[in-house]
Amino acid sequence: MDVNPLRDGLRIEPSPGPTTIVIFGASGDLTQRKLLPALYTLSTAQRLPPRFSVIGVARTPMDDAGFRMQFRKAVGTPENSDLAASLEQHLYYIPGELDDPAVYERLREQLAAVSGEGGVLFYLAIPPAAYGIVVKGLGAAGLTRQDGASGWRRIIVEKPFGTDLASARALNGLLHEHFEESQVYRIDHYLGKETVQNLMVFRFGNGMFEPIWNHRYIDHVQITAAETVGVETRAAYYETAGALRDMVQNHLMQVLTLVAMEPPIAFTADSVRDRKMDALLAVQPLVDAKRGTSGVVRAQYGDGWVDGKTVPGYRSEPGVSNASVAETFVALRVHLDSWRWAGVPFYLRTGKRLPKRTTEIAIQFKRPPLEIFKRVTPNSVAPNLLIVNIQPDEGISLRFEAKLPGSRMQLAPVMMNFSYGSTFGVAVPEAYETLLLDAMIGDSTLFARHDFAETSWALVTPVHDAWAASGETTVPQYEAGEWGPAEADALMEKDGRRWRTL
Amino acid sequence: MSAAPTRRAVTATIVTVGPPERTAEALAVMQALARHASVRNILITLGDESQPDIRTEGDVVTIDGLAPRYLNNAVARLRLPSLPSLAWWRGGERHELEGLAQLVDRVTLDSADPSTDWEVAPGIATTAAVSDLRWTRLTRWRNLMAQFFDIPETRVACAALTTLDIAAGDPHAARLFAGWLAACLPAADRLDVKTTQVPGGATIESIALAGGGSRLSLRLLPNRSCIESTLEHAGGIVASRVAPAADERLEALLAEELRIRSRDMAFEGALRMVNR
Repeated sequence: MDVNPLRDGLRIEPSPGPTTIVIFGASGDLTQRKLLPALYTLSTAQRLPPRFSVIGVARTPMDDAGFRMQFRKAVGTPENSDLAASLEQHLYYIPGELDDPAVYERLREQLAAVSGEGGVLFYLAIPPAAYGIVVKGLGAAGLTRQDGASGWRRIIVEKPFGTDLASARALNGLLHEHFEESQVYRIDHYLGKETVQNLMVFRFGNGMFEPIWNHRYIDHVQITAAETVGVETRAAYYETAGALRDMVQNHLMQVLTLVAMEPPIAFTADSVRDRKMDALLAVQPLVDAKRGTSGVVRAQYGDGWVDGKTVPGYRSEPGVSNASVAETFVALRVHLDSWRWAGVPFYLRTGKRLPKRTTEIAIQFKRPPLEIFKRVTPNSVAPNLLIVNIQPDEGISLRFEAKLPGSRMQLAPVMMNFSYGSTFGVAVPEAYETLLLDAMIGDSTLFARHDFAETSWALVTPVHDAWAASGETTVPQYEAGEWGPAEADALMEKDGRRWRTL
Repeated sequence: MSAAPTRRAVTATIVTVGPPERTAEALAVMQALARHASVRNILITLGDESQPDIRTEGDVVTIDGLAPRYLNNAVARLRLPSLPSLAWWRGGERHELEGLAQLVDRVTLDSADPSTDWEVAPGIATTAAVSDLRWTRLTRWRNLMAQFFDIPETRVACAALTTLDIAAGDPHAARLFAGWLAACLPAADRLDVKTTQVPGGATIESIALAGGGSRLSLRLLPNRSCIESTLEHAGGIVASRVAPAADERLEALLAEELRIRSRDMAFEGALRMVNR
């Protein structure tokens, strides 16, 4: 019997077959904050298979008991302590240097003991510099070879996927030496967010929006990813990355392509990713000989106020050079050279130490062709706006004009709101829960393909090159707690538009 | 100063119908459900009034003592044609259920004694999707049993499984579970089913499917919040773990029902075996 006869009509979606997750960087922050809690939550929904184990690998000296203690800390006071205790018993730990072949030998032995003929998912929760070491180690130990359908081997690679085009190509080349592309899952946690996935349903599951989803009806698109936090403990990484690498190359480009893509012919991984790739290929270079980087604004936060507290400027943060030119804010104007989007600018902005934490897509529609109410209403009619809130309040809102009650003809904008959190009566899953489960099941729809990563870097790398070549020793400043620098406002004002005040 | 609550996108209308002794607890359930899911609630207690008392409390419209002959009229008036509607059927006459099923998209049965409902269900399933809250209580048990069959060794051993033992506080739920297995497993006719009623027990206390040296067992742990699942082949334990049991509060069960929008063929298959 090839198929499970009891699966038809189950209300809980399929769980993966027997699986072992091997986390490299098991003692690190990502494992503690995201991965272990996500696994516990998946277990509460009965989404983990009966034969399931986690093997942690890291330099930190620790044994199985230590790793299990770390799990207990990660899940805090679980709602179901028996469940947490049971899951904990399936956690194992291998300490060691990632370049030590003995580590991979012990991993092979541990896998044989706990995994049997099941699948193995390797998770690289380690600094990018160590990716190559682990991939080579796995390859040399023969741990990347698949054995039948149930003995699959997959690898999840965390961002940043390279630091520029050359390094992304090199990393892809290295991965492809040891894994087929179908085994590689490049994670972008934005794609695991419910609203981002719902964007595809909104566009392609409804007949009424797609006909107006083009340059005839849309004036422009704004995509904002704002954080209130500063650089925190990530100065070492952020000094070499900056906002363009940290947020735009991956998250914002993914979101942009979901807004801009053509309809896929089916909801399959390849079909969806092909159409996203088409959209990315339509993005025009961010740097050109005539205008240079004039469509890109970078800035750094200075001293200011956030959440009622004074906060230091970026250059005063621990671990940051006082001559740093790393950008903590970036705003871009992006054009897509496509039939659908000709003449429709996409404005992207992201930054740290902004007034509030929010990520949204705002699609602003064109005004009516004739303002027939201009004699009776003093203000111009506000354009229709479709807002997709990605975080923190996941949902969709539509703004349109309505008549104010009364004998006079007065117009006022009103909002229709759909909120994920309060509509369906179920908790919205965390992105890592969705993505871990998808990788275990073998669904790569929500993961970045190698060509997407490289093409995105091909757009962003020339900006970095131009900034480096400029020799500038300062970048525009914005006060912490403000919505970025004046230069970002000017970027839009030049086009006769304004950023939304969020 | 607190902001006025934002009106939410509404996803469904729930029409609850039943005799007074079965609808008394439903109001609190509706109100609890409304806090989590954006639904319209209509609670109808059957009686003998042609002009019954109608009240609105929060998101719940309550009609007390409605004469059954006006049930269809009331539901037709209050349902919204543009929203899916679900009937939570807590008991009543056969023809009332049949009439209600013509007006809603989904009927969730929940009578104290399901015998009549289960006889009617196959007939109304052609016009409205049908389910039963007893079936909803089995979701997690079914899922855990199915997970055993994700393991290749279990599928190989499937034909040799010959006995099914179920200990249950609710014998009707046990029958449904057995019916589901019989509908799904090949050669299930050979399955020797033994059901033990556990007075005061949980809906299901334990399930064991065995034969040919294999044993697939599920057992509710004493804390009632977890189910222990154990898979044994040839005398050895192949897989064992603890999984969460279902939240059996009525609002949680109804919330699950609201997420199912299609016809429940697995339930209908199980019911066919039960009614056989």
